[in-house]
Amino acid sequence: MNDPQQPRLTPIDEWEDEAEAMLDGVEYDTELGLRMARDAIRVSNGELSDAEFHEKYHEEILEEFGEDERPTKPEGFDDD
Amino acid sequence: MTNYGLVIDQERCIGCQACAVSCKQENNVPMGQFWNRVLTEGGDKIDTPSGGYPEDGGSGSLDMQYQPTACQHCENAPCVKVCPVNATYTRDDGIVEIDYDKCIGCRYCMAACPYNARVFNWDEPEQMPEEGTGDVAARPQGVVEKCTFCSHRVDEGLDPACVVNCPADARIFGDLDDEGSTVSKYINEYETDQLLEDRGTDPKTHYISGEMSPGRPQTSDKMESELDDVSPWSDGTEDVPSDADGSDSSDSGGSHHSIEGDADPHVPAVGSGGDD
Amino acid sequence: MTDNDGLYRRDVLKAGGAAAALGLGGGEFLQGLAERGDETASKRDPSIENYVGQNDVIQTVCSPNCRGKCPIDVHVRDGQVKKVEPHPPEDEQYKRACVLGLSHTQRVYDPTRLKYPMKRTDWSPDEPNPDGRGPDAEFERVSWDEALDLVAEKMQSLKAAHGAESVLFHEGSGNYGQSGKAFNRLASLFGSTQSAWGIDANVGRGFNRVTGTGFFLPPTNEAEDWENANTIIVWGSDLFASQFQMDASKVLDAVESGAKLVVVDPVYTTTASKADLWLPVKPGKDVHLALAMMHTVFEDGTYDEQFLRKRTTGPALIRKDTGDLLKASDVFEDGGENQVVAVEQGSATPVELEPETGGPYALFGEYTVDGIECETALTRLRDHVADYAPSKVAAKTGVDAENIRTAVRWLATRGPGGIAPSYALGRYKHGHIFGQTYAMLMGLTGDYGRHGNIHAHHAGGATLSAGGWGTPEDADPGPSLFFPEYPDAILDGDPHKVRAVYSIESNMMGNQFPDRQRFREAIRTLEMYVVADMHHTDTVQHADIILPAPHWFEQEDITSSWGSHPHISYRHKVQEPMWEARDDYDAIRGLAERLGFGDYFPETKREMLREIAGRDDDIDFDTLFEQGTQKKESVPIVKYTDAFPTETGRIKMYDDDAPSEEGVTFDVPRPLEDRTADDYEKADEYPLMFMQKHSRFRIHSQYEMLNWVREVNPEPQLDIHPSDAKARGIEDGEYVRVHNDRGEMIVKAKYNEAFQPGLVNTDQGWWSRDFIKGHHNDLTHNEVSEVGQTMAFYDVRVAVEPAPDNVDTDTYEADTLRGAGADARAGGD
Repeated sequence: MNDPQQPRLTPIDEWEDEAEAMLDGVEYDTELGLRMARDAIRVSNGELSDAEFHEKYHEEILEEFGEDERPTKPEGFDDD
Repeated sequence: MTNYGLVIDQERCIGCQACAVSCKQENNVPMGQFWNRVLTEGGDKIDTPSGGYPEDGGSGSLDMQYQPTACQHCENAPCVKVCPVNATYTRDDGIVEIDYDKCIGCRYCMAACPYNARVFNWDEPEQMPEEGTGDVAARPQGVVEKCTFCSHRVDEGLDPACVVNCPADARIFGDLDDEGSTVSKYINEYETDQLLEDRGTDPKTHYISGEMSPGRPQTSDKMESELDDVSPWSDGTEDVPSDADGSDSSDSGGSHHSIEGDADPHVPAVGSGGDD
Repeated sequence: MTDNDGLYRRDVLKAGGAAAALGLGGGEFLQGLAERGDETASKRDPSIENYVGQNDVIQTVCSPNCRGKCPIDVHVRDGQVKKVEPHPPEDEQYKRACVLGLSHTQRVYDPTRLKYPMKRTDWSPDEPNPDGRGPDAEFERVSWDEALDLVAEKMQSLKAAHGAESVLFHEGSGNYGQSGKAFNRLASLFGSTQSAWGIDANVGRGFNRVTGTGFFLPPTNEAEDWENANTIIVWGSDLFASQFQMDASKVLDAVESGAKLVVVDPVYTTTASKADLWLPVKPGKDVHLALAMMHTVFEDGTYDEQFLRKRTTGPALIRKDTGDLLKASDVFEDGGENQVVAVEQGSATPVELEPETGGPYALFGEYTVDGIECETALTRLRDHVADYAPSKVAAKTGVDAENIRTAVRWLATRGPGGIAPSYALGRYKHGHIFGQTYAMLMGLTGDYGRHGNIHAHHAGGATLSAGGWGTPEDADPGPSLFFPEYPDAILDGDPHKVRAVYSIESNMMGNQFPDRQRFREAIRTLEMYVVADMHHTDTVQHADIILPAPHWFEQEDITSSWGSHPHISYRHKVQEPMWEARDDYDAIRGLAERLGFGDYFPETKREMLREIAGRDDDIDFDTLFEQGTQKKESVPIVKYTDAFPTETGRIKMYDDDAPSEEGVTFDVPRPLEDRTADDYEKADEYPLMFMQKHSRFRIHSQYEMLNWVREVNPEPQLDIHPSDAKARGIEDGEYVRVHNDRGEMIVKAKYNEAFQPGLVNTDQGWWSRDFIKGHHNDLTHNEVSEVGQTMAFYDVRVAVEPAPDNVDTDTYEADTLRGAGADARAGGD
């Protein structure tokens, strides 16, 4: 992590290391968190649609968290 | 629709930390955590410049600017997309907020936030004084927390604490969807940037850098939209921005520099000088 | 919130779902919802418990010795101070507050607060045991009556044996209320020695020699007028970080409206980072630089002729034979002995110079009047500065010649403007010379008495006129001692012996005065040292009797003087004093009763405040009390519009009655330096100049304990240019030993390109407990100039080296995220 007195906006190429450090020790899947973080930026960028993002991770989220309440759920998406 | 946003004029920001501390105070932010940090753009450490000291006596290459940084309340907020329990969500008025009752502490949102704006309560949060400060209850251990644009104040028609307490008038809060609001006007009139624009997050915090704006002098803690008069500048101060829309020029500050000699435009007669 | 020890909230949630989450705090939330009613509740966020509108709000005022004197609202809920917000004063444009004033919640409840009156365990009036003083001293709790009895008994016995002047009443600047006037009143009645200010009174003294005004910094136009300035030369001041930050918008507005901002400073400060032009002057070379600016004004012919003729002694004639100004009595039969004389241009007819009167006076030239050879004062000045061409002083001052010219050309040709120096220049031994120099420079450019003129880096604001309440007519006051004279008086009886000190509102003698070890040595010889304070400071640790003062929020008062806004403010009590803290006024009155002067002091503080306020025609006590602030209408926005309070009513462009020191006479400004001089004898041994900048994180040593601020600014550091550090083998962030022939300190090195090579800095205001070893004031000295009589904190040289390997730096290297790393001393019992 950055110096707490002077945190930086992290350049994109260093950001994953930082994100990994943030998730380190979390009781949920670190690797899933990382992948989702990466793709969430792709959603922001418009490279990926909400629906694609939702579908891509739905199964894994359900498995890890027992629920998937993300707001990205497309209309008519079949939860089961 | 209301869509709240913040303009920070970096030309005006003096790095005084009043926003950082009043944020902690208002929001009862635990010790060791900041929701709003005043970063120095310059050297590696706080309050240091980049460049080198001018050994030749000239103006040299030193450069320093302050960048107060908190949650950017992105239009396309990655933190919202990744939250498996929908604890992080975007309100109807654009404020990105966390439902602390729902948050399970997975920190996926922290990893997704490119601005380091979120903090996690690893330990039982400690406040000083112990009983806490400000106008919201403390959050529990095990949740992520961050700037809310002081939504508890906004809901009551008050500006965020950091805005009210800025002695440089460098922070302006308002409705980005209202063309007449000061934030909208400044985003149109001045060169403004959003942080990390390449990531497509479309932050609702805009930074002015280059030409200085008149800021927004505040004599009240009310939001601009709550003031009686439509014009935010009608409170009698002289700091009226002279914009193209043709605001009332009779009371404008723009004419001060035409004062000549002993001209005495608005001030009573003078007694002797010293008082100490 | 969770009381399930060791169990993370997320675990609970995982196990029990949403219902369990509600159990952790949802109950309160639901109750809050019910109280607020549905409509509001539906707008609110489900998990944020909101207290907006539930606080009692008390208007009061922050009161340290900064320039803010900020009217504030204090929010109280459940008997606790919850937050501080600025309260717009009567004139709303002066709404203000800063990072420190906004952090009072932390100060009010800090463990350093003094709780009870205490006595040093091994002290008694008859057996003071002075050796027991210092870091290891122990204290025992006593009652207020016992404490005051002991102090009164000792004061009476000292008075009987050695005279009342053997007791010194020392007042600092730590509480801007009216208690100091009661303190002075008791001192006057008792006949004790009183304190005379010896800090920051250097620049103002020099300015006063020219204009008749100024002791600290001179008066300047009120902040609201600064927007009218077209050029602002900020000289030796980081005004955006110290003293003016709460009025930052006023300077920024000027810049936004097109003013040129010039900063003259050896440090690239926050203020410099906002400047159009920064002049990186070498420490101590400011007078050279100002003389070079005068040179440019003469060379360019951009001086204000009309102003010089009407309001200065520029046209006055100097007798070449005596160097005195030619007097009317030298020329005219019934001419006055103090009246100066000019000649009319062309005819060379002598005429008397009246104040505020223009005329066709010759500004330059040599004239023979009644057989006396003369030249004009302006000619003398022009010839004097002929040696100071920018190109000639560039190397000495470290400033590019063209930039010197540009800066002064802006001032001289862009309309109204001014120079805003700080006290820093007066922290060099001979700093009064700078005051004289810039006062004259602005006389040349005609920048007095107009909108947009600036003469100091903060306005003076409003002062309550108490009309000498501190000195009753029937009192026989004792002598005064300047601060720098204390050690000699205490240790050597020079000019007279001081045996006891009663100190209020001050952490000076144990922390903030220079040459701290000598002051401590002096304290250790006293027979009694009484200290009233809010916190257990370094000074308090050296006391024999400790009197706990309440936080400002716990004592009502009238705050006036040195606020950079033109209001008087009423400091309403927010809460009753905590523990046994008691208002200084009550302690002073209790002491007065025991000393036989009780009748001179009204029974309550409010009565005293009403009595004092009654002496000021501009202030109505009841209005002030009710409004909280009252604008003092007699405070002029623009200063210097009338005749100057000098013998001639004019600005003195030549001083024929000038003081001198070290063989230099100040008839015209002549540079004189101490430790910054190029040939200073110990420059090789101690090659680095050492300043102690005033930062945004302190008002002197106040607010040291704020944990929020300590999270941003955790420990004392040494700002050092990387080249100076590397030459000494010092890594960034490494602990270093800073030393000279008086003492040492160990602090962390901070590589900082903002600092000129050859100059190092530690921000002032840290306490002993914050240092790994020593203190910044163990390095400073107490030598003052004869003329300036002001402590020269920045005129100090040091050597720097890596700290020894065996220093214990755990205080800061352990995990100190929670702010102040050092232990708090207990405030009582």
